[in-house]
Amino acid sequence: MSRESLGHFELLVLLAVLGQGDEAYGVPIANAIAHSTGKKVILASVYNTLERLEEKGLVRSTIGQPTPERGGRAKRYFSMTAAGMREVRAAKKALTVLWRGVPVHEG
Amino acid sequence: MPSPQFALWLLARADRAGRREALIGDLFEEMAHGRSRYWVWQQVIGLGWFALVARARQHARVTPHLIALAISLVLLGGISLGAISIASLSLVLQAWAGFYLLAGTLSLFADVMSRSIASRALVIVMDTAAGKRV
Repeated sequence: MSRESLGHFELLVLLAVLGQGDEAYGVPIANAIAHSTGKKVILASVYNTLERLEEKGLVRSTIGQPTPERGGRAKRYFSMTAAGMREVRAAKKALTVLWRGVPVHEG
Repeated sequence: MPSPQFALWLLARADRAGRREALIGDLFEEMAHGRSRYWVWQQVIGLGWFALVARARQHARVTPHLIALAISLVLLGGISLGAISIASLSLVLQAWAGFYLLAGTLSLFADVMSRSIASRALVIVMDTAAGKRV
């Protein structure tokens, strides 16, 4: 794991990117997070986080084809890098270990 | 609620560098798919807010003026909430003014002394250059 730990929202975004597969762009990622957390998600915050994750080398992005319904603008697709996958696994491991230490966590 | 089309158009015009192209495209696409105006307005306001915060982070610098403003605001807040009385504020201001006067006097003295030494050195250099005996 890198020295700088993943933030909660960063982890959610990474998992959403992973879950959306080839269709991981802004709106589906935001929808997945909103669906899983039950909270409203602002697209700008998702894009800001994705840009930060890309700077850290945890995701990469590719530009799709522009379409008329998007006002001639292209989609930006995101995918996880190997480093991103390592970070997610490390976060899962840490959370699992911590949950095991909690005496009663059901109900 | 007014249509967000104009706001989106403005956003698109403001994004000359194309940094928000994908996001603006997403908003256009969602509108085409029947998203509510409320949702689009939320996203537009959120985008504006994040851009403002990013700009502030980029340009904000801790300057003496900013520190003075922050101290003034804390003092004013303290007085208005009743945490600081006028009497204690007066003591703080007196101590501050005393420190300021002392530091200012020392600084002025040091400046005069350094100028005096520097000007004497300059005279010696000029005289030497002019061939005069020092």
